[in-house]
Amino acid sequence: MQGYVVFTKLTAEGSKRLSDNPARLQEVDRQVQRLGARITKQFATIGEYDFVTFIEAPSNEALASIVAEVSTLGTIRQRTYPMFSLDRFTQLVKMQPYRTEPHRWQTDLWARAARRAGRYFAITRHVRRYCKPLEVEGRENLKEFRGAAIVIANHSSHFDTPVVLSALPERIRGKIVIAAAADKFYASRRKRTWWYSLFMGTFPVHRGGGVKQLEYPLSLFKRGWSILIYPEGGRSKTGQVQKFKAGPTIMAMQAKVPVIPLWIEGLREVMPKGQRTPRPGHVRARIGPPVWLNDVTSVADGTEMLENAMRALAGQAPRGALGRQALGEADVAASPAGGGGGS
Amino acid sequence: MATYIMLSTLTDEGRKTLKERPERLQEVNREIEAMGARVTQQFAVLGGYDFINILDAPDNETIARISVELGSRGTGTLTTLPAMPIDQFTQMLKSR
Repeated sequence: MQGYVVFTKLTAEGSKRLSDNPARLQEVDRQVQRLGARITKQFATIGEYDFVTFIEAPSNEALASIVAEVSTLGTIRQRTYPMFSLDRFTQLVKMQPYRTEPHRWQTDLWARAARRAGRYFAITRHVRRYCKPLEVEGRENLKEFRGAAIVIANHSSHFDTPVVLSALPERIRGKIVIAAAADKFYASRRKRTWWYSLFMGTFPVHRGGGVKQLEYPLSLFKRGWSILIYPEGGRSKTGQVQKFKAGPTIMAMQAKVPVIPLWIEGLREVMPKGQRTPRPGHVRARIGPPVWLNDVTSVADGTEMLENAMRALAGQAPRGALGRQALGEADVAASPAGGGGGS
Repeated sequence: MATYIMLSTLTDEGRKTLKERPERLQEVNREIEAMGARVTQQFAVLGGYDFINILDAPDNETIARISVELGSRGTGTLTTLPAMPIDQFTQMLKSR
């Protein structure tokens, strides 16, 4: 739903009709609802306009048809403007222009070689210095695993990516690219965006950019590449698994690749959101068995399944209908800690 | 308390401030409160205006004061319409 504000001025004819029959106003209300929109607030005003109406409609097209419908009454003149909540607007203002196109050379042989050669400086030395110790559980879950996968991890810190890369076996790590928020890592004011693409293997994802954002990763699965993505869509401050976005599910269902859940614990102490310098701490990474979404019919079910796979790894109670079914209603409250296929 | 709808349009100066310090928007709300009115809802608009605000204020004088105070900064121009909820309006028409 999108918000609109409609300013209305009655014609002389309209004023007469309204004072003869005030109930007409409610009729317009019903008409708007019939067309799939909703009036959230309406005022009669003194001054330039007679009415100010706030409407929520599913799209510009839907609103246009409402406006057309109402104006056939011939009793009003109106002006309609789209609007946003102030919070969203402030967010938009703060956004810097950013790059949305991946550096496609990052999967070339020379780039892979450079990434491998630079890994110690870009990743390993930081992990060794600040993750004391880094414990990895569940490596055996990937012993049999070959080919492309979507690796999903919980996100609480910029340190997550180095830890995930260190925890994964070389088979996957050597051929993986990482979905990074374009507005953060590929902002135009940054001079070295290529550095991330080359040494971390990241590519820009335009958050909220829709299915178009999946083209690049989908093209890579065919060539045996894997993807690391954080389905929560941003860093969590609480340590609880946040609601998953649908992107990873859609990718997995379209490309028919399995999803490997990975739970990271302890990085909120090492480098939480909002802190720039890390301090050493105990970090645990737990790899779960690959999840296939072949039998899943809807994106919502698939997303819930992935979210619950992550919750199981984290020892948190599952969410949604599927999760409750799996556990039995009674067990939800007393969910076993540390469950899942990790250890 | 009466309801008012305040339509605001930014000047070039105001646009510059907005780009540099978006938080300024919230600070204005606090200043309005200090003058005795309250912003109940606020939206950014595409088209004829930049923002639309719904205010609760005790009377027209308070609104006049706010308009002069905010207008004097040269960051935006304000138009304020006295408003009443639509139900109240239809009641009024019917009861005549």
